[in-house]
Amino acid sequence: MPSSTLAAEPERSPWRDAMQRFRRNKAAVTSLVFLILITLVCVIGPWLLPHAYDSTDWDALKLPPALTHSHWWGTDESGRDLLVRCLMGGRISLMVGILTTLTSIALGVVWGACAGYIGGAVDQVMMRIVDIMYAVPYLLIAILLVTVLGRDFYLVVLAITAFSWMDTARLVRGQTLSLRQMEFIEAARAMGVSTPRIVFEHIVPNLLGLVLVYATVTVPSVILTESVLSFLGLGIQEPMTSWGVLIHDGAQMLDSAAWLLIFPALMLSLTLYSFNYLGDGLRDALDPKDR
Amino acid sequence: MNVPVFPLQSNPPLLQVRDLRVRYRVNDSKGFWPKTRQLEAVKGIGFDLYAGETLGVVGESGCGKSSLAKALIGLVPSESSKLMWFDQDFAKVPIQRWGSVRRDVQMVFQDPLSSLDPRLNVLKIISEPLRTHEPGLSAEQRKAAVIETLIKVGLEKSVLYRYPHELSGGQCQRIGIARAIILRPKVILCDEPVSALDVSIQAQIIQLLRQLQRDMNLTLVFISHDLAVVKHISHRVMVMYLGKMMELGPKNTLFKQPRHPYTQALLDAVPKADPRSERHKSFSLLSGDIPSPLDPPAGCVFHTRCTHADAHCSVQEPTAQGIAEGIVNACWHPLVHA
Amino acid sequence: MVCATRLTRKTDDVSTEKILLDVSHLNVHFQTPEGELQAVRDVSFSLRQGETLGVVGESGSGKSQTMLAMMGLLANNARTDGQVLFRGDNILNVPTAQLNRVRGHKLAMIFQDPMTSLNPFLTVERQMTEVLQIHQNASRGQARASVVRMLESLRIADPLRCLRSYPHQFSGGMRQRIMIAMALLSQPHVLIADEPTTALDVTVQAQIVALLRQLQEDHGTSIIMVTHDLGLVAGLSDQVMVMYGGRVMEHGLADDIFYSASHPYTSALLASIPRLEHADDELQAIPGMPPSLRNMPAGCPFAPRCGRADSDCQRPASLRLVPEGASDHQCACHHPGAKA
Repeated sequence: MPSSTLAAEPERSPWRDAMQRFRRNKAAVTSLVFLILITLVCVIGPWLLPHAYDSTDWDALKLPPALTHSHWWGTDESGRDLLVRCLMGGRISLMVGILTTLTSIALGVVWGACAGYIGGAVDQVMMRIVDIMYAVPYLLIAILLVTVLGRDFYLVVLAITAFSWMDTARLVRGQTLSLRQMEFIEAARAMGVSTPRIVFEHIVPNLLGLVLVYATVTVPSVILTESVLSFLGLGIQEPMTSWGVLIHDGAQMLDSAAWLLIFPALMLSLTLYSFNYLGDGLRDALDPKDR
Repeated sequence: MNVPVFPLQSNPPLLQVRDLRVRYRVNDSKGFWPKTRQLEAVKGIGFDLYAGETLGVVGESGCGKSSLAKALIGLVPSESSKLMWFDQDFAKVPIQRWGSVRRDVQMVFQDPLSSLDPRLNVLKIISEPLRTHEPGLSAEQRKAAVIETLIKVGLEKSVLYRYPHELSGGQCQRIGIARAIILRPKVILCDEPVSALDVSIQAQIIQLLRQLQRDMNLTLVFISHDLAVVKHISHRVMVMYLGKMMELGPKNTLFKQPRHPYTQALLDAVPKADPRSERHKSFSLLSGDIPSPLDPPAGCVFHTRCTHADAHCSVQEPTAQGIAEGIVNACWHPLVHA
Repeated sequence: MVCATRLTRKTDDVSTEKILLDVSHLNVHFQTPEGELQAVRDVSFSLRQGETLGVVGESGSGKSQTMLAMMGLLANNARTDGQVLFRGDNILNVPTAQLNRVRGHKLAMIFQDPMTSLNPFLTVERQMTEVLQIHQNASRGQARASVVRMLESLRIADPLRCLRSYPHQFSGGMRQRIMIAMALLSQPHVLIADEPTTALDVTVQAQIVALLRQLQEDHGTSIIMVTHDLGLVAGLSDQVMVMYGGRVMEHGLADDIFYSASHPYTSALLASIPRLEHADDELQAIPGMPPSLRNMPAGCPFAPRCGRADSDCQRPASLRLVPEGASDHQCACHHPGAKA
């Protein structure tokens, strides 16, 4: 009987291969590093800075940015330090972004995988619900919800989740439909594996790559949505702030204190840009062209 | 359709099938409105399967051999007047309740790489049947069983934590076979198990299957389009065309003295690795292409390409007749041999 | 009902015809992120008019890459060296314009999957007449007439309906016949067929083989048949070249290869394939697996699997005449001769 003569290589799971490919992509790695840094800075920074985000400094109203005084990025018209407010705003925006993405992806994956695998009438009903959700004018509903129930952080997360899970569901359903035809799924059925196990042990792990890429692209879109809501004055409540709120306020001061717009806008843009580059890098890393 | 069968053994058959039909709905829209048509992939097949034998099922594309295998194991819905596995009739039982069949009847698939989940390592792939049917086993016990099975299929312990894409086609197919035998089934359905492999590897897998059959007293149903491979591994052979059985019989009789014109045509068409005989070969080629299974010819499905057909063949479908020695033939003008 | 044609015997002796294609020491290298891989090593052969060469090999043998190299169809990261003379002119590493005068015209190739070789958006007529309009400057009417004649000569039923249809409306066998018709339109001297029947049913394969034989009789076309199927090669070929791991293992007339195989790989291959005509003996499987390009053994590529291998085989063997063999029977082995 012939023996398999495999050299003693370390095991190469598909994830490890992908990590190697990812590491070769300089732009993606840089983006990942930047995102980690900015998260750390936003989380730890406010404790290290001398000013609190809501403390007003009557002696330094609308101070332009300079390194000579303690307000490196300047202050706003109430004397609040812009740098610490940007970092606090970052905390909120990133938290909203990541939390909302997690819930909306989780819901979308379960919905889409079940609809795609079970098929038939169940699939039809589930996808019609998705269609109905698409038809609802989400911004108006979000405005309504927020106006009636107040501007709570978790409500903002809920409102945005409610209207961003459908894209994932559709994507996942499409992938599930094509995965369902694969022979290893047939093999699992022939073996007698139950439907829930097939969905969660075979279909979902093979989707995760795609979903991961999609998630990194969803985060910026969610942050933007939150910024839009804040820009409309419906997002986070004062004195808590987010990048959207800062941009909203800064835009009104454009002619007299442009720095109030530039700094938060710059932070938001760089973060969104990095997420997109990260997503591109992940997609290229997980795309099994070499296999 | 009644198939008079000559009992080949005194033991009752493991599988008895009568009048098996498999139908699919296919999309046939040509214009604006969606339209579906019925494709009858298997049109009333009947046969018995006895313990310890290998039944080869051979045919060209559209003959329904893969659909037959899937119907036998309950992967696709089918209709039949009788579908008895181990003396239990599943003809009227919905597929969800075929549980006991899933233990004793396993399947090996054609494409070694795509029949294994790319995200699972070899240990997880082979132990999946154990996790499904014997949940009481501990992880240690499962691992031991997997290692024992790996050795049986000629692989080393070192592949245990590897992933399918790291292994060759032949190794992946051995893993597929390991997965199929770990529960010690009684029957294995092999759907073109060597067609996707390199020529020099095919012999290894065929030998492996033969050895496993001897060691584990397995019954095999071996589906292939390759007549030579089928001849090597089977005891009896069934020839299919467009969903119908043309001929069924012991291997040597079928290959040496085929009764059905289609069987003869198949045997003639296979090129042999013997230049002198090939050069001097001259026989009647079948004309035309295989008709689409969506639009099968009336009467005998083979009559459009048959050199022996007459008007009767285009009108009346021949019934499968038992002729001596366990041979079943479906033809109005069977070939006679001196 | 008449529905059969007779498959004719192969009769011609071609040893006196002139040489059309002369390949010497062809090498193909690929630049990959893992370094340079060599897919084809030192391949040489020649082809006369009206002759058929069967090239046999498994995956990784380099047989398809050899043909693609001759046609200039390799990927961008490929590098070739050696010499390919077609009717006396070198066609390897020449400018595309020069290659195009020969390629598709006098040196034609058909592939395994006709579906991907045919444009799904154009009718058969468009695709076939295009060939003539480009290479022979024919008018549309003239081109159409030639195409219809060609389809009729290939015994394709209802050529006019065929012309109006799109590739996806045909079966695999029909598409392959259309591909052959397209390849033959400009009456090529050499037709390279790369696994042309692998995706086809065996009865349809027999029809295509009969067609190719007919071609040779009618037009004197030389054919290179690339396949893994030894049976296919047996019936069609005058000379046979067995490749493994990018090298030629054995090369000679069909009878010599099949009845007096000298290389252990050839004999092992012949012993391991199930044969209809043999009694039911045990197959003798070849242990191990074909080498991948990344793990090519130094020395003879078959050594790891060979029963006769020893320390000599760490050096590659060059093609030498088989001792006590025919004058054109060559084998690349340190221990040619007896069974593996």
